[in-house]
Amino acid sequence: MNQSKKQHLLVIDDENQIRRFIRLALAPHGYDVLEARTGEEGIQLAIQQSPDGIILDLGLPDMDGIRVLHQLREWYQGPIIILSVRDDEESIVNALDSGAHDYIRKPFMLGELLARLRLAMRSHQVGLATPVYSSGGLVVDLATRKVTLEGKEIRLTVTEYELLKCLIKHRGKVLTHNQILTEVWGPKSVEHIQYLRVYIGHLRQKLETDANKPKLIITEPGVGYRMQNLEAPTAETPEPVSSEA
Amino acid sequence: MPVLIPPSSQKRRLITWHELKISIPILTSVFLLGTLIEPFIGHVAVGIFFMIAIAVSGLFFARITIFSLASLLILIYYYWLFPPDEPKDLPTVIALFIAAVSIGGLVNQLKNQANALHLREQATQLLYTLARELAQAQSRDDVARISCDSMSDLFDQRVALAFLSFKEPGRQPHLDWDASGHIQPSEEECQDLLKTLGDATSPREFKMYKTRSGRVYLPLIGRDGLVGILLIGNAAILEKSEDRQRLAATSAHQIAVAIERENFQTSSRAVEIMERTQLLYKTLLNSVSHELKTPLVAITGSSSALMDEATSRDQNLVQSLAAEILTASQRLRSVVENLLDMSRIDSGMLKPRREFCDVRDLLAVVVQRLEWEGHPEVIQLEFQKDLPEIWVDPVLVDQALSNIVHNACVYTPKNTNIEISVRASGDCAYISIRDHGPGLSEPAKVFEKFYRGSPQNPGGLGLGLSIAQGFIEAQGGTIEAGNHPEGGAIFTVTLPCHQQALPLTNG
Repeated sequence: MNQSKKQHLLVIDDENQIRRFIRLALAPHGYDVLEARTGEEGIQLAIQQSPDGIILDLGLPDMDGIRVLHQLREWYQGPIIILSVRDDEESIVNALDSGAHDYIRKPFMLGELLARLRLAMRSHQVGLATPVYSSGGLVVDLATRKVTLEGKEIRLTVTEYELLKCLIKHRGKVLTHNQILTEVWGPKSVEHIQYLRVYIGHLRQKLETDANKPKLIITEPGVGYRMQNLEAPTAETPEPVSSEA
Repeated sequence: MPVLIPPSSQKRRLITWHELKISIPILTSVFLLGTLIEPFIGHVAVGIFFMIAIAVSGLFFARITIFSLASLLILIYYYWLFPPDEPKDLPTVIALFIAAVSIGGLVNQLKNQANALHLREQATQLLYTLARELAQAQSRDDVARISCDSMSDLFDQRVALAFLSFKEPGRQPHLDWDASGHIQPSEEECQDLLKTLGDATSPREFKMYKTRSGRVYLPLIGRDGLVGILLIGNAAILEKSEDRQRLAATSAHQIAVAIERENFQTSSRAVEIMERTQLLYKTLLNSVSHELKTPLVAITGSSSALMDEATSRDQNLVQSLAAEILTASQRLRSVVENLLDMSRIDSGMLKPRREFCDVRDLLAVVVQRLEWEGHPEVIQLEFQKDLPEIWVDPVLVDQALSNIVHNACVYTPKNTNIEISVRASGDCAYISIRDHGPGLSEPAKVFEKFYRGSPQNPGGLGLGLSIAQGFIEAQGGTIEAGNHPEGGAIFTVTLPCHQQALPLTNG
């Protein structure tokens, strides 16, 4: 990837084959991978080596992955990506709420892992540096609070704008319902998931080409929402095929 | 020990004490009446009156009684009522006597025959009813209930029925007393009965027995031996008449045949279930091993080829082999996931985490995933305005709907439309998924495990729709499959929703 500087990654997983695959596959992409077999070993290695990022498997033999995450988060600031199995939405939400940066389900493809890693590393380093965000036909100027879609200005309510800002701030990363509710409505509103769904609906209505087939604000069933980065603004023009009742 | 009832227990007695008791006052009154009216009508008419009385008695008494009555009356008539002044006309008196006895005898015979005919007719009627009802019996319990009711009607006794079974072949028989019986055999009776059964060299030889408490065990003997025992509350009724015994034996045979038929049906049902289970197991094994092995072959072959030096130099070949491995792994993954899902449903470990969800949101995810998987079918979405939220586990619904839509994609020609529409009414949301393919040949069977629409379609365990059904039903929904009148298959999923939930404004 960029420059000669190698990124150090720590993989905590009890499966030898998975660690080896990650090490081999990531090496050509500029990652230097450290391996830990157990949670205990992972915490020790993280303390000694202070890696740039951690990939943590939730199903570890010696201790619960969520506990490892809690212990790491006491001092570790870098991005942590969770490896999880299917049908384990509860742990995923739990891990995300406990400070994991993102999650990836097993089995996964290299492309998926690289995208998540790149995103996690970049957002962690850069944060929200650029005041103008653009994705697809959407341009949001966070400095002037101006939102335009295909050049046309879009009027948003205060809450809608705050929600959009929150999503843009964490674009590419999955946000749990709790995280969005806390950030936009405040920590006392975590019970009001309906509000969130209603406002997501409004945003989609105003920003998506086809609100029934959202491309920008993606639902992750049972977990939360993810703001997609639509790379080339003009390259794709999705055909509206839906007939609305 | 119970006592065997002899096949014909009633010895024909010449005269019964009962008849004697009645016949003496009758004789006296007829004689007195004759004496009283003699002065008015003359002794010849009295003789005729006596003869008529004898003839009428034929209706009530046995022949020997009639004969005795006639003899007595003739003697009285001859020595007492015949006027002393007239010469004793012995031949006339003898003729009168013969006529009286003959008519009495004939009347008696006629009456007996009519009685027997009536009894037989009644028995035939009852047997017919029994046979007809037994033929309609659906289960062993039915047979027991019908048998008990009919037998108690037939003999005017309380009865009970036991089924005979051998828990282990060749061992002591075991009796199950049916609950529909009217009497409970005593412990002692049961012991006696089992002992008698054990003593009989084969249960087929079991005869009609009378217990010490005066009840009767009626053997129910079918083609293959004793199948059950009927207990009749009082032995007296059988001891009295041979006809009754025959009737009991015939109805016992009917019941035995019915029980045997029921036994046979039960065992054939068991065999059928076992065969189906074995077939299912075999299908499972064949299907799973095929579905697991095929991708494994591709993975093993392709990866070993990648390690081959000559192959690895051709960059295009490397790419296509890698793609092959990826395809095979994805196929393997779907098989494993399907099997895991199915076992989650079957083991009852499925615990839906229900929450309020936007059905449009869920369908968007489904459609997007299919687009990512590269299905070229055009999916059209249609939503009713102001849809309420649904109260479901989003992950399970997502997967169930994905399976149904994926199925529609696989079984229809490329680039045809798939229409998904959602409407709500009452407390439910209805999602219908319609395709424009060939439709379902057996709509009732599509949710069966390992059912495959057409074998030429590649891959798949035939579990997708079973899983969809399991997931939908686990959260209180329903799923139906059918064919659209204008062609193509249509699946309708009904999911619960909460009217209090905030309706989302659409457009």
